[in-house]
Amino acid sequence: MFPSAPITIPSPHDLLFAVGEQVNALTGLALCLICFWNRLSNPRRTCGVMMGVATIWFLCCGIVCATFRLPTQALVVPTALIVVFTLQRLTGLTLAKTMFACASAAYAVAIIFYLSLVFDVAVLRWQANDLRVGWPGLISQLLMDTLMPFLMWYPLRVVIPHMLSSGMIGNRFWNLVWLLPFVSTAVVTWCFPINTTILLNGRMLEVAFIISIVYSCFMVMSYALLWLLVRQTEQLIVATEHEHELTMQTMQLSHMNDRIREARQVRHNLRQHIQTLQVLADADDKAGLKNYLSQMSDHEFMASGNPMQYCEHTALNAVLVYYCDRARQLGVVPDVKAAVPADIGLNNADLCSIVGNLMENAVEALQSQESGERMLKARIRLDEGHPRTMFIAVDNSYGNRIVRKGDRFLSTKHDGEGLGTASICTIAKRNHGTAHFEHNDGVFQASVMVSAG
Amino acid sequence: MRIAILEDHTSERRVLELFCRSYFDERADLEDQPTIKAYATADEFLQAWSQHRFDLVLLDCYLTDDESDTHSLTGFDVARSLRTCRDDCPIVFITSSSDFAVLGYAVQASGYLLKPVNRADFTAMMDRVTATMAQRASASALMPNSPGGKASAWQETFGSPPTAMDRRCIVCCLSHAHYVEFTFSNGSRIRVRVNFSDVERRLTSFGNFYRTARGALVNFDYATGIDGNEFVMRGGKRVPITKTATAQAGRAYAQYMFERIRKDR
Repeated sequence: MFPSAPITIPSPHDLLFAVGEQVNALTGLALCLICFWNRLSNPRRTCGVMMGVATIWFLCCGIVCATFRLPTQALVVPTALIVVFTLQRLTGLTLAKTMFACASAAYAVAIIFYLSLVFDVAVLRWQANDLRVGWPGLISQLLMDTLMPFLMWYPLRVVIPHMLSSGMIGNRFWNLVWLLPFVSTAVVTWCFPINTTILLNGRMLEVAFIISIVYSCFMVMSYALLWLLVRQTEQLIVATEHEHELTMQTMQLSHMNDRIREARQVRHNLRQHIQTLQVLADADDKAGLKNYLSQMSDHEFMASGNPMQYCEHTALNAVLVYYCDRARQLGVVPDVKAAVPADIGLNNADLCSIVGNLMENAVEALQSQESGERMLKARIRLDEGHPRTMFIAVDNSYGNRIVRKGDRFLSTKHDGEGLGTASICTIAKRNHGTAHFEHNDGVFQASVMVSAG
Repeated sequence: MRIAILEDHTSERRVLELFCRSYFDERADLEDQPTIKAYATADEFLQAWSQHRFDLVLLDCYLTDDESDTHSLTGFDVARSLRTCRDDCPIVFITSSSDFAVLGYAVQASGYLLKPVNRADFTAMMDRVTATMAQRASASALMPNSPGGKASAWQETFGSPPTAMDRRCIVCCLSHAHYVEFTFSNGSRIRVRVNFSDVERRLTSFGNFYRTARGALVNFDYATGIDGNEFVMRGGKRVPITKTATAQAGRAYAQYMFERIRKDR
């Protein structure tokens, strides 16, 4: 593949073309940096340094390739591996995600180089250099290198970063999908013509050109399908979250109705008792009255019921009553205190969604806890400071294994992030707040802070 | 010490008054015996309160037996009024049912007593409340120097000549040349000739003090939030935060607030 040749001092002409080909690799790096821009801690400085170093590096590579008459990919391929690992360290992404983005950029520049070679042979015919572009090829390559960042701007700045940061896509997807651009790039590289004769033989030139265009269209369609798939998955997840919230609200309302029925029953019973007492009093039956009152004081009717009001905020109170009752059904005495007035500058649905998800996760953890002391503690306080801030702290014991991915937690029910914690983080961020989760010594602590107007 | 009892039932009001007097008669260790005032309506109490605040308030939850009367003030309404006017005196609710006792958290109530109030429960509650009151910050931030005497656990002494102060009252510290200006919760300020790094080292060993910028220290207990690049303190004073450290300061404040609310009983 790499013809050995004696070391010769390259002519300026050869040097120009060798270095010119390396510009293609520089474009590949630029495409990667455009994609990872928002993930870098200091993007301007990092990209400036990397492009500067890469320029010098590829210049040297061009000189080496010209001196030793090596094909461009002899040095570009090993360099690409170094770039992948460097970007992985800088962005903090997994290797599969980094490979997906870098291989996508690599495919673009590989196809540019391939088309440049084909175009060069098509124009120069038998005068074309083996393994090296001439003027037509170089000009077309530089033109395509200049246009490519603009053509790929939307996929690189929007589509791929969105996919990379979506917590809804599991690792299994990434471990497979990076192979699409990687294998495609490998195929294109493998198909590079090693000499002019092959391309000028029969209709090979037309075939090479058509196949490269068709395959590129196939790649574009594949990415479009992937993007549609991801968007639809996210919409499905949002719909699932809405449905989940509606279900929670329905259960809470149903529970409230049960409590109202209980209260009505108690009032009815009270009327009965008072009527009985009236009859005894009218009959001047003191012994009967004393006996009846003694029985009433021992009756469950006199026992303190479960609290029906935790705070003055009606919607939040309904959520707390519901989950506290569920905790009691599990034999856990919840320690829940909330200082939230009736009117606050925070969307009711957002507040109830945050607290509902936290309490639901807590109750589910208690349900699956098989050993150890079970506890549930919640403190919710509106700080009337500047700005007004709502602090929500929910602590619970747990028994299941908790798998963490950075600041997020993986679901115990499906691949990918837990819907509840993801929803909490999204709502907190939307309300200029933060959500923080930690666990140790068998206690899971959730701390959420949101702005309340 | 001034104690107020707000209870609409005459008999229960008298019982509470009796329990109070009896409790403090038995507490010879207290420096001054309290003045106990009892009120039957919220209006009477609020009128008296507007003249002179109380050190402890015992409040009936429902100040009327008429369920259809939704206009009269309840004990919670009275408590809320006190807190809105920044009166942080201990409040104990007297209630016939624990169902609504949890609402006391919203007004930082010290606890509640179930009717009919018995002496044992009353004594236990008062022991707890008086112990908490003993730990409250003194009205005067500056403390008398007591060389050779036992310093209070809250006392910090800075500068030359030494100035003793109650660190619970310190709102913030700002460096000015060779001086440090201390702002206190009562609005007063003093300038002490002391090295700021010495003040910072000693105060930040307590979890509620935080350095926000060069020469600036805040007490999180008096912070109301962050606005832009400044901490907004109670009373409106603003303390700058280093621009690149705003996120970090916000996290530290949030962490402190969460630790505090988790300790709420």
